[in-house]
Amino acid sequence: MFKRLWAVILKETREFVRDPLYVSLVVIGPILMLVMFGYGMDMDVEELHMVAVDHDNSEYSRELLEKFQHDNTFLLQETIYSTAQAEEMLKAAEARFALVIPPDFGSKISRGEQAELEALAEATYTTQAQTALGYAEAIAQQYLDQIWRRRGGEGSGGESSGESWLRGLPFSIGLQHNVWFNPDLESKNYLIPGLYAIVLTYFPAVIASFMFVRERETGTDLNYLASTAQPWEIVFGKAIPYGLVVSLVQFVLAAIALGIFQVRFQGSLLLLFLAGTFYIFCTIGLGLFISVLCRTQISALIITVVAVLLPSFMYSGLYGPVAPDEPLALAISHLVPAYYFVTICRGIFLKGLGLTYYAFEVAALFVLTLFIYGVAISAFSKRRKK
Amino acid sequence: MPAINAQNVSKSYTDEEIALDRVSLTAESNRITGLVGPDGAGKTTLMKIIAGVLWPDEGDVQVGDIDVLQQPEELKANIGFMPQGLGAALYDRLSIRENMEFVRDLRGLDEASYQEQIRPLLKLTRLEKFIERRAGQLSGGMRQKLALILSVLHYPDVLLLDEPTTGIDPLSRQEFWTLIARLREERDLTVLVCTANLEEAERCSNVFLFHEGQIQQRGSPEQLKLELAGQVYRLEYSTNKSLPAVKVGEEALDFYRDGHYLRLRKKENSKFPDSISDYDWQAAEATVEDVMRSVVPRTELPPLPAVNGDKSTGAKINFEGLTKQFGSFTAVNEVSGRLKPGEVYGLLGPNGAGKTTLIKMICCLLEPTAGQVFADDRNVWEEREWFKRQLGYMSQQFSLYRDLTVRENVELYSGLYDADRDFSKALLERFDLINYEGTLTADLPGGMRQRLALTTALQHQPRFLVLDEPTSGVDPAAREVFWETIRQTAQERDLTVLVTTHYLSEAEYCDQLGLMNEGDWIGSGSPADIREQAYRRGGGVLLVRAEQFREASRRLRREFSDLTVIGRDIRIRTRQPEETAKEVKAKLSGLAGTVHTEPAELLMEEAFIDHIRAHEANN
Repeated sequence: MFKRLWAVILKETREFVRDPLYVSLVVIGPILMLVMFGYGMDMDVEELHMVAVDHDNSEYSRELLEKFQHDNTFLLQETIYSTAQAEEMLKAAEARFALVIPPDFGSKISRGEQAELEALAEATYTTQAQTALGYAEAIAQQYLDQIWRRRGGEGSGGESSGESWLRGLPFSIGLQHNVWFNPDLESKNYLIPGLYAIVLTYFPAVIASFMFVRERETGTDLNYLASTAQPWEIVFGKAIPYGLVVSLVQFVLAAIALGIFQVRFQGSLLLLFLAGTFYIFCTIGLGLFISVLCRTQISALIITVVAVLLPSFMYSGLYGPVAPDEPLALAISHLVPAYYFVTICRGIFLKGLGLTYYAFEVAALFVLTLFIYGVAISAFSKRRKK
Repeated sequence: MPAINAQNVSKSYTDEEIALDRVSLTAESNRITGLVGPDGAGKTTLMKIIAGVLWPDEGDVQVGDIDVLQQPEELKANIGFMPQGLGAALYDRLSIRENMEFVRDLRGLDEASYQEQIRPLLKLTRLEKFIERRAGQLSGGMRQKLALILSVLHYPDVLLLDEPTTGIDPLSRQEFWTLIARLREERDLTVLVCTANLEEAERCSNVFLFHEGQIQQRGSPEQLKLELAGQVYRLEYSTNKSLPAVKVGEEALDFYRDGHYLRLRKKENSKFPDSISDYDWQAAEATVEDVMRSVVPRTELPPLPAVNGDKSTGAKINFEGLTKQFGSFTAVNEVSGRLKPGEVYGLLGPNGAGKTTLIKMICCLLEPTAGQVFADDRNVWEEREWFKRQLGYMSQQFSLYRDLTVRENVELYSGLYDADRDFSKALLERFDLINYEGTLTADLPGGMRQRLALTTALQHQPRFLVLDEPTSGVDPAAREVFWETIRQTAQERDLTVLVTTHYLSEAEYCDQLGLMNEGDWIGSGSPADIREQAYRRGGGVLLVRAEQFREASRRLRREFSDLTVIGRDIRIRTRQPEETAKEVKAKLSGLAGTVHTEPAELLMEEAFIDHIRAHEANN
């Protein structure tokens, strides 16, 4: 019964290991993607060029600026005394961030009143600007806390003590205080596990999407069509060897995440690989389904990018929770396998939780996988259109 | 009961593209049945439908007692199907053995019957010593022989072969047909074979002539040819001369050049057309080609009228020791030749012989690993810019834009090559394309597209014209007229012309030939020289015809190693035809019915095979 399945597995394996292009696509592709996106999507802000406008020029204002100087988020270029000049510098991109200290800053603090600071952020890169504002606020707050503590926690701050009010001016957009507070204040701990999941979504799917259509292009598909081979034998005969090969790539990816990016890892590697292997078979199924439907490799590639890669980026929660107030977006995300696997991966990486905490995700992935293979096998036609 | 029975099968891919129009066909069991016709006639479509891999729009298909449309999977255990293309179903990265093992397991064969079969099959196809070689490194002929083995491993009752020998070398072709004949005999196979090659049609016991999705004629080759008995005449004729004008349809039923003969078909007992009645015409047997030409409406491709224009001077082309290696693979191995103005030089060889690689080196599109090319004694690689102005190149898939009209294509190329517009216009008139000026290139009738490609290649008035497989995929009648066009153009403009083709029958249109096989230069000279060389080496041919054809061929095959069967003609290669005739008569004594023997000319195919063998023997 399994003779034909074995025939396909053996043939696929032999072809695969003799094709340098596919070997490099399978091994080098995922590594490149993880490394490139890992560095490229790093949303941490470092050495942001800033300028300070010190209208106050008091002991307090200088002390505050010293804090900024010591923080490597910002690189304090110079201290000037005109807001207009700061705005010019922002326009000319000589600085990306300006902190304006009003003339009464020092006196207000010494009186224990609410002090106001003004921040100007060049918000072409929205995320960066927001992050910078968040850091600025945190630094200001730390400083004020320090002062309150120096005064023995006393003072007339009351409930409003320590509050600073940061205001965004022409260059800052949507000024909100959403700074991540993951323990190390580093985005990589959040991003890399998600990317890890995306890489294991995209590459297996792309490779699988070529598998059948490639034979259709060369004409070898007629071996299956003109014989008594069953669709399930062909689909699994292709999925199994590729799935196992890609599973090996997981080790390399994990090594890069932990070794190069130094991501916090709390969970069990074994668990990560087990879940990953299952997930790889899921995404290979997706690719095979596409491959069964397409007539050329190039169309299979494009469809995989549009139907697998893009939804995985947009709806998996890679950048943040999928908009909970958008029912449609939420519904779509539940159909995207990456949505579940990103959650599982982050859980294993960051929280070290076992799979039991992700029973829902695991069950959902299982159902999706069954469905995908069911559709792929039933879509496999033993007849040609032409 | 017929082994294959298809009734009223229709299939269209789009509204305009009707592949099959209510076609009915039966194939007798244990016979070779041919589907014969030009490309695009619907043969492949019908074959795929019979194989159960394509669904017809209407119609019924039975193979044995299986209804193909109802029980396609049951059918598939009983058929072998070899799709079109050189080893199209092979996995290039797997070795011969691995390909065979894949099919063994896919077909669920037991080891014993597998082992029992492959030994003799590999031996017969001379593939046994290459068993560990990857399919991607086999020649076209070897690939097709391997594909044939793969398609019979599971002992099918019916074997479907789609253009199995197109583009393979003649020796492999001969071996291929021998193998088929043997399999049919030993295994009671029913064979259905598609072919565009009319000589191959003669090997079938029954043929169906296809044209534009319909069957035009059916019957055994003998029956079909008998219908034209007394109508066909031939005349030995120098290929250097142009065709005399004969109005087909009025003065004669058909008139064309076939190799170094002119062929004429006229109504029985009618008189010869005036313009050619002085020649010494001899009655000839009809061929399947004559039959095909009689049922297929002639492609309207009028021959060109002669002109006396201003002559340019063709370039003298010289290439010496040209070699091209891709890694460890030698695509072209030390090839040399000389081309003269006004002559058509033909590069002849199967697909994969290295013809296109050689042409690309001559045209400076590919740098040779070794060797040089000279045009008028100037090194062309060093003077590429100068040389490209002398060169007109028509590539294999000639680069016409199908969605542009004839005029737009011509304008595009005249712009690209900075050509004289008046000259372009003159060419359009010359090639009778002026009436098609507003026609989309995609809608041009067969053969006209070739002329358009030729027009674009000639626009900048080159002195050296290179045509890579210009007649590939064109029906035979259009091919013949296109060759006339090429020849006339070469003579009129005193051009140096280099043409490649894998149709051996086209060799006679050339003044000089270069024979290539697997990258090697295996012979050169005029067509007559080539045949003469082969004749001197291995003698001529004794043609044997026996009423008891099967028994005769069985007996003779045991005696004569160099024997081929084409249709019901048994051809024996021999130096002493009279002696051999006596031997044949002796071997066939006691056989009922008549036995007729006569010495025959070597076919170009046989001469080519002779050159391949001589070359193999020297290495």
